[in-house]
Amino acid sequence: MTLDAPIFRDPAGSAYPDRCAALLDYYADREATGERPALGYIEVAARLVRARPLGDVLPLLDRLLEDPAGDMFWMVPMALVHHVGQGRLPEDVLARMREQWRTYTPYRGDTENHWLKYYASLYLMAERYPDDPAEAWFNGRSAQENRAEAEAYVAHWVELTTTRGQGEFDSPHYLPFFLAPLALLRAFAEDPAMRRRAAMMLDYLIADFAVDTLGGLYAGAFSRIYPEPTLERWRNGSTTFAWLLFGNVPFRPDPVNVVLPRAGYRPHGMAAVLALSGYEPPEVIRRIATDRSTPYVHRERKRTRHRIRYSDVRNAPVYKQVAMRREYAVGSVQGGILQPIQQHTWEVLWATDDPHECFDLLFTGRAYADPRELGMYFAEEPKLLVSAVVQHGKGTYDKPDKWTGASPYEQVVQHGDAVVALYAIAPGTTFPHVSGYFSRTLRDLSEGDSGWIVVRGGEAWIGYYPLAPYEWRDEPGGDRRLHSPHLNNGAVVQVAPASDFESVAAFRAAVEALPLETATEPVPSVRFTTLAGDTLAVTYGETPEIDGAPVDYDGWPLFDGPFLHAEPGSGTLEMRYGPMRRHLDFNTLTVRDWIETDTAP
Amino acid sequence: MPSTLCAAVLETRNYIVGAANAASGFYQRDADGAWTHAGWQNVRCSGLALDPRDRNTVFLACGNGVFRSRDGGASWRVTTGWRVTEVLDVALDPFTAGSVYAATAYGPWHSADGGETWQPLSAPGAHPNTTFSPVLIPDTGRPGWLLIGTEDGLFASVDGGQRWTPTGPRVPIRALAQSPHRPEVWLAGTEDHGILFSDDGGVNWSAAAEDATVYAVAFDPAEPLRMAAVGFGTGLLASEDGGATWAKRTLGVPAPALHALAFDPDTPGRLWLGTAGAGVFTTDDLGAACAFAGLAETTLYDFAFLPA
Repeated sequence: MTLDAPIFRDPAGSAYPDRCAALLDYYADREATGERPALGYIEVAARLVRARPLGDVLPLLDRLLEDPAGDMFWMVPMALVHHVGQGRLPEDVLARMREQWRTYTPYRGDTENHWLKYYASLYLMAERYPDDPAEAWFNGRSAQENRAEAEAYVAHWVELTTTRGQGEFDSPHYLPFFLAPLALLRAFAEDPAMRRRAAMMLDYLIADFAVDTLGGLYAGAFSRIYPEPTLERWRNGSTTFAWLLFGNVPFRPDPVNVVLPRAGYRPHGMAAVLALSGYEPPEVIRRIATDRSTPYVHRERKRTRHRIRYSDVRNAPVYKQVAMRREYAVGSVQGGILQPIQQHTWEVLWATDDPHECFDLLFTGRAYADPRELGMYFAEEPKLLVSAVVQHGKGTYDKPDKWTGASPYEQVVQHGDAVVALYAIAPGTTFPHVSGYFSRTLRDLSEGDSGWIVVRGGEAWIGYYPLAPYEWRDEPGGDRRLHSPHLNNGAVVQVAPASDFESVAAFRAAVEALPLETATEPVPSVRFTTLAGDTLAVTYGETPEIDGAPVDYDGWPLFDGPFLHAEPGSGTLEMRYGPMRRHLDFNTLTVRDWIETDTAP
Repeated sequence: MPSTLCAAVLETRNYIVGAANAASGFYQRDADGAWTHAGWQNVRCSGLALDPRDRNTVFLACGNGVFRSRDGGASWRVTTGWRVTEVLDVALDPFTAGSVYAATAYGPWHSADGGETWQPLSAPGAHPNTTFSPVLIPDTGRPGWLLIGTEDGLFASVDGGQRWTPTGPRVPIRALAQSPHRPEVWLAGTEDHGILFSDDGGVNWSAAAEDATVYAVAFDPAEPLRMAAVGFGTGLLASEDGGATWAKRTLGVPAPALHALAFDPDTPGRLWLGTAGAGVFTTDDLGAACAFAGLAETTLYDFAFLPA
């Protein structure tokens, strides 16, 4: 298998090891073309493991070592090459690399993925040089201290994630930066417990991704995603991991996939770390990721990242769900400020033959920029934070037409294929409007006297009922924005597979016949009976009801659906596909696989 | 030989975590006016403390933890582990050698052995607004007496941070300073609530410039009645009557925000001003005229003088 075409379509039946080898060959054979990303440590590592001549390795490595930069983004590929290079690189080169762990001073960062990269890399380097004294390390701490600190943090992060949920959860962009350091530990940790813990967390996060992927794209609601790849979903690094792990999406090499063109910042390239780690996803996860023959609803509990002020709790719970089927995914979290800057709260994403060509989603959003939102999560003075965040690479944060971000004035309730999104925007707040993203790939859009907008995306019918008057605005590339400037606002959304209705008229007639009562005063409220016959009663700011029963947020599971199950606080995860079972127990660091004999396949 | 001005630089223009950023962190101003960087390139440094007992010992309050140098900045050690992060201030106990305090976004910490080991102090409260602690100062006149600023006001401790008692209005605190002339006189800077003033050791507080946002406050070591404050959109607030009245001075500083402030111990009346994004400035006339003094495009969070 070779990946020499601009777009590589995975042949049916290709195996994971074949894709690993092909990916490593792809990176090993990349040549400097002037395109981003420039050749880096990923290419060095790939050339080493694919046994390319040292003459193709050393000049590139020499150049990279001249100018270390990237903080924790430098640490993972540096530790990778240092370990891959054992026995392959000359001793003087390894010594020069080791010396940079004394002279270069990487910052630990301020996010969950930063810390995992920092500590996973530091753990491995400290383990490799266990007797090196404090003066041999950039942070003035001995190898023993560094290893103990790193081990303690990784264990803490695993415990927190598997009992209360991940904080930087379900991020199509940042998932690679969790999987790569775990793959490093899986591949190179000498301590069997650390190696096992890392392998189990790879299972855990990949299963979490698998259940939310549709055709290789990460679907639903996310803690963090950048604006452009929100719309062009395949641009996220998670797509390359989906190709590698599941083979359910074509491969596209990352020079055209770069979101943030920074040296060493390689979300797609991180897949090479996994490819050479020796990790292989269990079959149960691959099947969870690829079988969309039966519709399912899956729920997850996550948490916010640490709130340092302006909140009654350090970590608020996040209630997440996705309704998945072959034709589309509908996913959401409950709204409000669950993550700063880059939250994506709900969407409908429909399947397509080639996700590289499409912008296949619909969602609403509420542009919001506020010093207190940032001050909740960042320690600098709130008045300085908005300009700082814009300067720090989040340039759309203070833009009124942005598509990503949270709003404190949003409440979302999902039940299966239906979503109710309500907005009660405080007077005087930034950007007092609601926006609906209607993709360029939607067709057959119609508006009627009933108020329902009906449209088709792929093999999905979508009914969208706005609670307040709106206007259409053209967006770049042929997208359309439903712009509504009313403070009390909202939308009711009903999605259905195209095969359920023979025509747009039939679908329109069906949604128009659904019982629906809406109001915008004194606060937005909706009472709506879905196509499935369930009645949602949602009043902004109150606990929603479904068929007369309040939604049980307190009882929301850590994972629950046909494929994954975990109770909050358990430190476990059970994966299920047909009769296949895999049980991860992080309390004992044990994995159990079995076949359930009484379950139909 | 004059004193040496040391600066804590939070970041430089266009800073992005993980990018090839220009050097931030610890700087010293040389006799010729040039600035020399020492130590880590990028630590998001919010505060610094110089040890009066050992001129080679420096502590930095950083995003990564508490940094310590014992050789004047030539080498550094991160003294804290993974549990200590977003350190916003560091202060040395004037009475006990080796006693060091750190204020963080998650509450205060203490080291009794010069930063070798750290223990969490009780926070002033359980709510995140009372654990968020931008500033902490040990009283120079009363052993064991601390004042800490939080998002929910000031808190005092008489037992080295084991227990805390609220004092003053429950407003966001950004800065604190104690008079070198009269230890019972304190200034506090707030977000949107101006300057708080106490002349009874932090028991009672009055407010001035009441809607101002103040990120730094300072007393003139040469003139007991002269004080200054800077902040966001605040310009320079100066008092020459012991805090009874404050005048707002218009500055020629190309930045809306100033975050660091220090009176020069060698040149009476000279102020050093650290901006958010525009470097360092000086003024010899309380802001009537300002001169650029280097570190262009940096955001400065703290100054300290190393005595001659």
